[in-house]
Amino acid sequence: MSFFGAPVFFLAAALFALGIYGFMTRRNLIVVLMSIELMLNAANLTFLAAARGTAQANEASSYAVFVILVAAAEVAVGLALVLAVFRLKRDSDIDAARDLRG
Amino acid sequence: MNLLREELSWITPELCLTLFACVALLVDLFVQKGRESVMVGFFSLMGLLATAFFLYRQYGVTPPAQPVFGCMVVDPFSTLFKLFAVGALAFVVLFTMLSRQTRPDGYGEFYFILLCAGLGAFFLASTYNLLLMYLGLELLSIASYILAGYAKGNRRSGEAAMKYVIFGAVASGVMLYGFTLLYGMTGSIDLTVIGPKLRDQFALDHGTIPISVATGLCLAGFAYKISAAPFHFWTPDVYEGAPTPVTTFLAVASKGAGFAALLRFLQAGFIPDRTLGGPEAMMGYSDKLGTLVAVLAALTMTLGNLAALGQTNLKRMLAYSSIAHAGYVLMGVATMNREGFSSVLFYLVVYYFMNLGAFGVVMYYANTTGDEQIDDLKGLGWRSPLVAITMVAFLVALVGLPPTAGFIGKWFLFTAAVKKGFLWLAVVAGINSAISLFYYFRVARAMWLRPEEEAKYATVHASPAFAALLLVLAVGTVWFGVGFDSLLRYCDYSQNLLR
Amino acid sequence: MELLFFLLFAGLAIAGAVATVWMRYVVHSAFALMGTFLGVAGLYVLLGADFLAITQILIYVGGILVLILFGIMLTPPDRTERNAKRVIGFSASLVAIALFLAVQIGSVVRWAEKSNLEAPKATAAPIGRELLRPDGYLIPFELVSVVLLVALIGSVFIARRRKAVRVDDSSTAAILAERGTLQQKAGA
Repeated sequence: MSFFGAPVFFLAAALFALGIYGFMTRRNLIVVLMSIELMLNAANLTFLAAARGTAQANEASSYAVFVILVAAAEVAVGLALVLAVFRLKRDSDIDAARDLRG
Repeated sequence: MNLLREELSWITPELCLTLFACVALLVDLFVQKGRESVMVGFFSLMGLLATAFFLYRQYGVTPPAQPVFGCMVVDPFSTLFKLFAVGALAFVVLFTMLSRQTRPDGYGEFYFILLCAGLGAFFLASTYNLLLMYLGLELLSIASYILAGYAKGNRRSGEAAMKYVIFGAVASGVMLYGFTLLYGMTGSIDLTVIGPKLRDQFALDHGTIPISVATGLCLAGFAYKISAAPFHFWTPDVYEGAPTPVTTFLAVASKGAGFAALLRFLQAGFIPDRTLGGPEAMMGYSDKLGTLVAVLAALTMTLGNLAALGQTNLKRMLAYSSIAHAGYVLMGVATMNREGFSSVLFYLVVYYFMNLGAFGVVMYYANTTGDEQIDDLKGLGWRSPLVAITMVAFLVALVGLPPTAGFIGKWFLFTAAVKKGFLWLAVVAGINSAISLFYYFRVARAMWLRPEEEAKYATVHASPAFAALLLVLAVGTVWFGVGFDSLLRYCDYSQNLLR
Repeated sequence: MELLFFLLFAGLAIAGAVATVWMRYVVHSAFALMGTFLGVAGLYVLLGADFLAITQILIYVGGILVLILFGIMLTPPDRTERNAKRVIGFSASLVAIALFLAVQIGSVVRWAEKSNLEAPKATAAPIGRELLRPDGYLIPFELVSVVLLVALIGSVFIARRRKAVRVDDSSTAAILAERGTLQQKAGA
């Protein structure tokens, strides 16, 4: 069973890199938020993998719980802002084209 | 039970701030329409005053030997930064009460979120625990995202907040991953434990690559918070798009808290105790890290200053100027020694006065004329001399010329850098200060030029309250340039990280 | 047996992540993300963190993902998605991946040393006790509740529709916005 620490660690690194990749290549704001979630999941997995087999396994679990809560808060605020910006865009359609040039 | 009470007594400032944040939220419900701004603002100010009182009582008291509640450090360093945050919040609240730019319906929510952002800054400045540091950073960040997007209906505000939330979330995610790597390598989340563990690893010569990558990832998050290169690109857009009082908060309180956390992180994790004598490898590593920070500092100030040259919008120019100032402060961080850290604290206090003042003038100008362009400042010196004179004081301080505090602050940073052997950095900073003269001077000149045609805007006098605020800041800016002894002593005393 | 489950969950997580990043339509990405969340939850179970696994499913799949789906439904389909940045992003990501793998390899050496494991126990009760112990995570626990309160109030405030537009403010805002965009044009 000792093979778990390292593979999970690699897996987390891959998730993190994919999150960074999504953040850099996608322009859709909601997908970017999802990529950020991937990164946070990677961090949580690393916590768990790091504490695996030590006396601190529960400690790592509680860190991960905090991270999950913060992630929820971040997504809520991010989505609220996305909604607000989209609503304003629809309100003033003239400006939409200029925005896209970005 | 007694133990609990004693521990609680150490965190009264935090409790007080939280309590008054909730009071502000609730008061809003019971105040008659139209008077919310004043009433809720008044309660927030009371809360800040009470918090400052509790903080003041901690001044000079022997700090607790153990972290309070196992994770919070109460020491002069954290108290200085908490006072810093409270002072900045007080001015932001006052600016908001006097501003016409932030006029949405929810005042209670605004002040609540503002005070909670201050709470985040409190925790950021007073912990060695990486988890608590992350949570404090997130509280500060999430509150800042909301505040930046507070002027609903204004699309620039919304888009600025959008940009802020995306880049902020990524930066904090990267930092968190760095924290987890540190946790993986040392098995602890407490910097006071991580430091010695890293020392052992250096002693065993366990390859520095993993440590470097973890540190680099963590630094990315801090660099984002203090808007240092290469993570500064969000700053101009967010500063320009956010309501001016919020911009002030971001430029002063948020940046100060970021520096507090950065100093603690570097000190506990990577600077060996030279009296005890760490392993050679760690000494070398901390010097290398210092050089990295020095390079970042040079990059940050150069990018900020060069970009500021071409700006026509006053707020945007000040945003780039605040990036440049982050670079100057990083000079002190790069020294990784006691003198450098003290000069960082001193410069941050100075920065507080001059930047609050400059943003205050911008807000005054935008309120009276609905305008933020530098060229349209023409004739301000003749229309409202008081505001223009204070602005000149702030600008002179921002350049770093005597007799203002900006000069003294920069002097300490420069000497600390030179003594450490960063002569090249001091030269770069000197050239940068010379460059900055151009764009600050452009603002001053615009204000005192007599407009050719009849003044575009009618004479508007600053309200007495507002004039008083600006005067206080201007007097502070000049005062600490002359009688800086007491402030210097206080900063030296508060810099208890490195002895 | 355990190896089989590990491969299953790891594959689910990675495949979900890849699909999240690559799918053209946002909704597809969101459903792919659910795969990742479930896979990660499965890994948590294998790692002996049952409480965390349940939390992951409840909050990520039951909360965050539903929120994201609502966000997708409430915003118009985005046709601005372009792949112009893909090349830069791709190379940069490759560097990032290489870098991270290098670190992992460097640190994994010490990783395996710790891994002599006992049978996992239920973790909910000890974690709950830790969360409310004064010297444990009481302060982070209270702080995170403030974070959630701020996020709750703030996002409700921002997402709420405006009640009415006041004339004086919107004009100021319009002037500022107009000038800003003009300047942006000049800059570009």
